[in-house]
Parts: sequence; structure tokens; C-alpha cells
Amino acid sequence: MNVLIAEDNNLLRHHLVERLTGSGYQVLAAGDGREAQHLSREYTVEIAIIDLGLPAMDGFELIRSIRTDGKAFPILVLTARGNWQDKVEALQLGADDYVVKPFQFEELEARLNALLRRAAGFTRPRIEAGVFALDLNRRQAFVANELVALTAFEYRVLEYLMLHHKQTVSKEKLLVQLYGPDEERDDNVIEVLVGRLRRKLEAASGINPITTVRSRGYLFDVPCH
Amino acid sequence: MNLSIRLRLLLTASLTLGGFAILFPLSQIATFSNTLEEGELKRLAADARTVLAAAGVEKDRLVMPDAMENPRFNQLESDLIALIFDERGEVVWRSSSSRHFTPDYQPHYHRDEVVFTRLPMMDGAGDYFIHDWDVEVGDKTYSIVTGDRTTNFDSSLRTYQRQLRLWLIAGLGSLLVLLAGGLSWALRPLRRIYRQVIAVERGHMPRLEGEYPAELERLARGLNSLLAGERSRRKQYQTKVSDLAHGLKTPLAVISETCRNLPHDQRHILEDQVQRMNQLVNFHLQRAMAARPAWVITPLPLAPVLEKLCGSLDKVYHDKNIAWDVDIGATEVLVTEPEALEIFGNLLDNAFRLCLGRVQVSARAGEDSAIVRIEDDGPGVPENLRQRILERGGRADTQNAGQGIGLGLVVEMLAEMDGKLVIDDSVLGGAAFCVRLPAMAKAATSFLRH
Repeated sequence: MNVLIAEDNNLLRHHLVERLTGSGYQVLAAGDGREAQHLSREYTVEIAIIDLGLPAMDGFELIRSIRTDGKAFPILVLTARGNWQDKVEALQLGADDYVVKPFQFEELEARLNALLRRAAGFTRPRIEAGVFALDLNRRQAFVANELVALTAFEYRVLEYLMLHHKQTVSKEKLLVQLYGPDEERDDNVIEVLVGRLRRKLEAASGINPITTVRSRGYLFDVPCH
Repeated sequence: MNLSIRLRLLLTASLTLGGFAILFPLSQIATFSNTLEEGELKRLAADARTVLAAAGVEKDRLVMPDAMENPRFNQLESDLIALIFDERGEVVWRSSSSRHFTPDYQPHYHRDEVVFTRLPMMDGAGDYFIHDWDVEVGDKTYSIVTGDRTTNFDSSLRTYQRQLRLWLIAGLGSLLVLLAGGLSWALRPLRRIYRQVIAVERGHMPRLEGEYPAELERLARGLNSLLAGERSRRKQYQTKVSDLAHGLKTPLAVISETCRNLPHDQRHILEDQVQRMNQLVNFHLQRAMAARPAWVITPLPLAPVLEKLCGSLDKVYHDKNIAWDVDIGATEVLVTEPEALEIFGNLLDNAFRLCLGRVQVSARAGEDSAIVRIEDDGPGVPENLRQRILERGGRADTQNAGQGIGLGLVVEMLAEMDGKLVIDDSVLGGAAFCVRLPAMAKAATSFLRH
């Protein structure tokens, strides 16, 4: 999951990168608006965190530019001022939510998850697909309400496939989600991961929900809601 | 009575013109009538002298010729008459034209004094101007009375009155048009300064511009200087607080982020302190950003502001699928847009955050205020907590994240503009936050729009 962070304070940006990477996100970090605009144009971004007080190009201008480029990914605004004029302006320009500084990382992450979930068409933090369930906030998978022990990478593959259920997801896309756009990795890594995930889910439920679409990728074949 | 300058000028001009329209024709008619009468007097005096010249004296008796030199005295149908009375009031001679003259007139003998009067005929056949002149012939005194009908005089006077009326109407009409044009021209600088003041208040212009008449030039300069000073002070205040907030908030975010590695009790203490500092910074920052300008004279239509806020919050609380409704008609209030955004942003955020699925905004207009009611179907606010949560930093919703200063900020902002916030129960089942805001008196609003 590629997150674009546009924050000019080095220390805060560093903390955000660390924490989000630790939570399994692929982070694209920019210290000013122009750099963030460039990253949003060059890479596939799933969600963006934008500080309104950026140098070179302020947050409002950056949001406007992203929406003008036709990008529809969710945008979470960070604002130090917290006044309603800024919040409303940012939301009207195309942002989807805001967090006022200083914030608890947990709050930020919960907002990120909610936005991602909303972008995927889900309204609740728990995604259900027959006997399978995913808790996006706790980052846990369940089969018939029983916790399934997954590694962080396995969980992220399952989360991405369930958020994009009924869509064929290519191996390249999954690779970018797991390792970021700049990492060179072999497709076999994904095959191994998906294989392990299938075995665990099938062992718990007796059903294999992940179908291989020949030469195109994988499909989570159970309707999610 | 607080009348507008335009109305005052129009009233004064109308009263002046009305007075003129009454007094001027009266004086003109009186003057014209006097001039005509004076002409009659002179003419009848000349006729009397003609009569005297024609008279002869024989044996102390007045003798008159059979026919007068002026043929009008000899014609039966003539309006010009002449009679001579003796001291006893007996007619001693009368002209042929006076046969039908039956006046109720007796001469008055006053030495060296001529009598000139208007005399009605006894049979109602019109009036006569009468000239009565006493002359002494030998030892006897005679009154030579000459007269003429007033028909010509009355007809001339009527014609004059009619013409005067027509000219007066035309003149007054033209004057009114000129006056209206003149007033409009004279008041143009005032209208311009008024429009510019509104433009300045709305932020469309930084200062009053252009040249003004001498009387307004100093006022415009004074206003510009006040504006510049006030704006500079407000800007300075906002910049300082904003810089302070930016300077403090990011380090606070970093501290908050770093302290997660500390043992739980230390982390708790530190986070609590960070939260307090953050609340203080937020309070002063939001207060500074919505600082009330020196004057607010333009009514702000509330509906667009509230719809903008609800639309934005609908995005933020999208998952709750909230049914919101803003039904406030054309309510206008005397606050700036940043003030309205802060006040209603905080109140609507609470409503959207705490509701189950419905938020409703309604308004009622008073004489010089408007009451806006924000209602939700959330848990409501127990009566014993209502006062406490209105104080700065007080929070009743401990289960929800928030800065905890919103309501206190709203209360403080409202106090500054003579407004009020009251918490009530809503028919939706939750809380109703009623905000009273200053509004322009209805009469004044209607005047300003014209």
C-alpha cells in the first residue's frame, strides 16, 4: 500500500515514515509540495498525507493539483492551525479527512485505514466474506471468528486482495504493495506468499478463496462486504 | 427618528418647494391684482377729470352738455358710467350709459380724498369699480362718481391665475427633476464611500480609493488610516499566534510521537501535558484566526456557510451516512465568514460526531438577532453538564477524540459579539445547540438594499 507523505518537518516526517513502514505501508516521503506533486505523478499512490503548511507549493495547491491531474486516491490533511476555514477549504478542494497536529499516531493510522476502506467501498472496519473476516484496525484475519495466525506480509497480501475483491490483482501490483516501487524482486516471492496464505485459509475453512487467473494474477473470489 | 440623509434632503426640499408653491402664486396674484386696480383707478380718475372739464357753471348751478366728448358715456350699453351727486346725496347729473346703473351707493364727502372701491350691483348683474372725487364749484361741493364694470378686470385676473398655475406646475416639475438629479449627484460620493466600505469589509478592497469631496476626503483618509492600523494589528496578532502555533505544534507532535518509547506512567504524564499545551495553542490560534474586525456592517447570508460546513463534515463522517438538513431560509447575521465558520464548524462537528444519523439546522429571525438551532439525534447533554461543557476545555464526550476547546471558543466569540449559546433538548432525541447572533434590524436591511 503506497502512502505519499508531504511534511516539511524532518523529524515528524521521519517518525511518520518509520511508523507507517512498520505498519506495513510503502512510504513515499516528500519535504515540500513540488516534490510531493512529482511523486504523485510518477508513482501509483494509494493514499496521501499532506501537511497544509508546505514550502514551495502549499498543501492547498498540492491537493488542487492532484485532483486536477485526475487522481482519486484519498487525501488526509495534516494541519497545525486547526481553524475551520483551512479545514473546509482543504476538504472542498478534494481532501477527504483532516487530523490536527499534534496527533496520536494511532489516530492517524485509524483515519488512514478508514479512508482506504472507504475508497475500496467498505463502510466498516471489519470486512466479511463468508466465513472469512478481516479487522482492518487490529490487522487480524479470522476464519469463522477464529483468529488465523498470519505473518505481516501474508496479512498485507490478504488485505489487498480482499479490499480489491472481485478484481484480478497482478503479481507486480502485489510486489509494489509489499516492497515499494523501487525494489527489484522476483515474482516467485509472491507465488510463495500466496501459496502459504492459501494453505492457512484452506486449513481453517476448507475453502480456497484465492483463485489464480492465468498470466494475469490473483483474485479473491468471495464477495466482501 | 433615524432618517437617511437622502430622505432628509428630499423632505427638506419637498417642504421648501411646497411652501414656495403656496406662497409664490399668492404673492404674484396679489401684486398683479393691485397693478390692475391701480390702472382702473387711474383710468376712472382721468374719466372723472373729463366729466369735470365738460361741466359748466351757470348761476351757481352746474350745467352739463347733452353729449359727452367720450362717446362711451353716451352709449346706453356702455360699461363706463358717470354720475354727479350734490351735497345732499341727490344725483344732479348722470351719463346716458348709467341709465341701468342702480347702485346702493352714497358718496362720502371727504375733502382731498378720493374713494376707490368695488361695488356689487343690487340686481346681482356684476360688480363695478367706483371712483368718487369731490370738487367744489362756487360754494357748493359735488361728488363726481365714475365707474366701470369689473368684467375685464376679473377676466384678466383669471387668465393670469390660469397661466401662473400652468407655469408653476411646469416649473415645479422641472425643479423636482433637477433636484432629484442634483441630489443623486450630490450624494454620489456618499454612496461610493458606502459601497467601498462594504467592499473593504468583505475583503474585496484593501482601502477606500479615489478622490472625494473636501467634506469626505478627511473622513476617507481617517478611515483608511484606521483600517490600515487595525488590519496591521490584526495581521500581526494572527501571524504571531500562527507562527507560535506552527513553532509549537510540530515539536509537540514529535514529543508525542517520541514518548511512546517511555514507560507507561511517564508516557501518560507527558502525553497529558502535551495535550494541555496543545489545547492552549489551539484555543488562541483559532481565536486569532477568527479575530473580529473593527466593524461588521454587512449581513452575511448563513445558508451557504452552513451548507459548505455540512458538506465538508459529511465527507469526514462519510461512514455514518448522516442525513443532514439545513433549513434556514435567507437568514443573515452580522458576523464575518471566518467567525461563522469557527462558531458553526465547532458546533456542527460536535453534532456530526455525536449523532446517530441525523443532524438538523433551523433558524428563526428576530428584530435585531437571529437564532440558529443545531440539533442531532445523539445522546444529548444532561442538564447538570450543560454549563460545564460550555467552559473552555470542558468536555462531556470523553469517549470521542477532540480538542475539547471548541465550545469554550464558541462561547467566548459569541460573548464578544453580544451573542449567546444555550444547550437544550432536541425533538430528534439528542442535543439542541441554540446560537443567538446579532442581525441587522429589518428596517435597516431594507434601507441598505435600496
